[in-house]
Amino acid sequence: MAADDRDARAAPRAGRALLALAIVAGGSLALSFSLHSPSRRKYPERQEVRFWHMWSAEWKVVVDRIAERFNQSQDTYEVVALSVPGQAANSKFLLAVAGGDPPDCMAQWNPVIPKWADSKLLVPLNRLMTDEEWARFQRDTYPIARKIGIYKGDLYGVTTGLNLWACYYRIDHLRRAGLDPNDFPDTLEELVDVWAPKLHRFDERGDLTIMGFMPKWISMYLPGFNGGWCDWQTDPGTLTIETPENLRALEYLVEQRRKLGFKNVLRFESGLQQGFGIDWPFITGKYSILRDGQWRVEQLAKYAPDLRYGTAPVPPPKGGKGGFGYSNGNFMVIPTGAKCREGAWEFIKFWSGLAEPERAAEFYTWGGWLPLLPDIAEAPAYREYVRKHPQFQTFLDLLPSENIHPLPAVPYQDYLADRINQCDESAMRGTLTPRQALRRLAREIEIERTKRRELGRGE
Amino acid sequence: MASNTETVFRLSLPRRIVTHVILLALCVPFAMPLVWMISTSLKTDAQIFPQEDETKTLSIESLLPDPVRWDNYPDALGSVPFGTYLQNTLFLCAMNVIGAVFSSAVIAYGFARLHFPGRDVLFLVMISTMALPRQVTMIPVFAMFRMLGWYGTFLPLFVRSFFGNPFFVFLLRQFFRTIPEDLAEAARIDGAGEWRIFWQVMLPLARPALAVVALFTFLGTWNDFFGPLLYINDPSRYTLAYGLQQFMSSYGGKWAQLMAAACIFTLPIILLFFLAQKTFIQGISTTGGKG
Repeated sequence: MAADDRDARAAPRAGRALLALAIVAGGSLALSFSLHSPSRRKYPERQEVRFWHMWSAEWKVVVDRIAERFNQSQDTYEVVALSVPGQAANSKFLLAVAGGDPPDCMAQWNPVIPKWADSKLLVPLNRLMTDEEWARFQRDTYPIARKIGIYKGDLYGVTTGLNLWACYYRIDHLRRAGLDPNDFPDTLEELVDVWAPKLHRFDERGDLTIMGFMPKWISMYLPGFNGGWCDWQTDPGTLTIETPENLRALEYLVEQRRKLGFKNVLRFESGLQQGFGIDWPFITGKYSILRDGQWRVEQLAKYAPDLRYGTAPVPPPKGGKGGFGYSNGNFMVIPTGAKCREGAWEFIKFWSGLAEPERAAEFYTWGGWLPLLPDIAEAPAYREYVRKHPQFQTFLDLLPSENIHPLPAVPYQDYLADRINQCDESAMRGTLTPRQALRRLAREIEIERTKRRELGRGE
Repeated sequence: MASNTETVFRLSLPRRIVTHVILLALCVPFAMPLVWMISTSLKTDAQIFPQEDETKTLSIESLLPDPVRWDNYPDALGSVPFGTYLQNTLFLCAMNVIGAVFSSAVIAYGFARLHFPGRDVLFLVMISTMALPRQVTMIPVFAMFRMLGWYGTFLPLFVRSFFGNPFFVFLLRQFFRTIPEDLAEAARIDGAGEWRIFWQVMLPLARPALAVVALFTFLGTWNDFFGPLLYINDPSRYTLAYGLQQFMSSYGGKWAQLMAAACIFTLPIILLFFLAQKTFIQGISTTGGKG
């Protein structure tokens, strides 16, 4: 009986002991799994250069290859790349800076440059250069790379890939309309008034089924109309919004939509995908001529290898400037709290081609990127790429143009871009006249500047 | 509940058919995105988008893939280290579920059944933390984890769960208050302490509410993209939500693969919901979450 009591008491005790043991063992396992991080270092004896970038999947493979090439090219630094895609990249960066542990180098879209530089989050890269290097940079790089990378006289970002826009035209559509692909229009008026109407297709109800060509996106066309959001030659820091040139550009764009009918164009456009592959409306044949970026050349080769097409610069309006357009791109920056800024700078020079343009040319071809320097564009590896993709030459020809403008380098560039889009959309939908839309934009920007002035922030 | 079921079964056959047809019709708008996702995941890219001069409208025919392309699934799985991401996600889900269920239950029991000075004030303070937006706490919390040397590890992603979640504490407190005090009193007369009452009397009764907490925590962790992205710096330690983002960034052109990956990502959640449906609904209705 006593033995039975003892057994009865011992059973729950043993159960509890086992449970405690299981909790301790499980907790230890969880802790060790949480803390254990397999070393990502291939060269642990070298200084680590932590590099964050926004590319993923097949682009990540390219970035990893470039980092590995850098690691093989010298024995002082090891670049460890981390893909931080999506909108969360900025939050991760800002938190890391605030927490005192930023990466050594980061690749990000250009709008962050004035914003972060103004907040003193970035290292001025020209201070890592010798006087001779800085002079060479200002002399040799394409104008657009300087317009974007320099903020208030200092260089904060070096590009490893610029974006430019030009016309893509489908040869089958042009032939069907009796147009000669080798005789692309010299003026915007000819393209819009003569070519486009021959290419438009409508169904029996009069709804658009194929768009010949439709000029849109005000920031793209402003330089062609001698306008712009600022004067890049004399005073890039002062915004110019409600100017006669800007108004003329917006009125012209709106007028083309009005001719086809706002509702008709809107109905047509809202039914289209803004896809990156086979769903791109140019591939699906919804557009005969479409203005788009240089990355489409690579995608067309991948998703529609049999499609016959050509590229040409968007022709200027009569009396306007040729070789005009808009640009943005991915830029490499070094945060102020970077622990290995020398290594980061060496990596930036390596990839961008500031160190050895001929070697870097190969990297640019892996991603189909537009280069920083003419020397890269002339390198054998890059020429070979252009030979395989002759349509790419149009974009290279545009690169030296002074009439390619990015958004002005103001610290509230994101806000500016958002308001410009609103202005553009209101005018294009016909809800505001072009004059009203520009006036509203000017007013919104003035309010933002006043607010920033009052808060003691950069304008 | 039982009488409602009986009412349904007492309906005549034509009425039952009409009822089901109406209910099915009401389901269509909600099920359509899911059906489209599954259908797209089995198509070739050419089947997904209309070609020149072709106007595709949504129809039963357009939803049926022809031919069916099963390869999208292995292709999608091969594009990212799926196994690693799944392992990391399941680990975080398990830890968060254990932590949230246990800690929230203990805290809620304290607020519901124990009497101590300042209890209601403490409860109010705890509840008011729910009003703090994530953006406000993000930087101090990040700095704290970094100071502890946990930045770059899994710890910031689950340790917090072991300190209670205000919403779950509120939910469980409401539930514990509905359990008659007589049960605890009877246990006390039998010599049970508070811990034993909590563990052996209250917790088994709170199973439906605990299931709700577990399910919500699992869903939150499964879908969390931002947390792992902020605290983890090693690609081999990222989760499935990060993997899916990789498709969205770079495989924007491969919709079929993207949808296949999305199906794989969503499937466990759907299965979990159907398996735990009864307990979940019971928990929602008994904790006052049901309107």
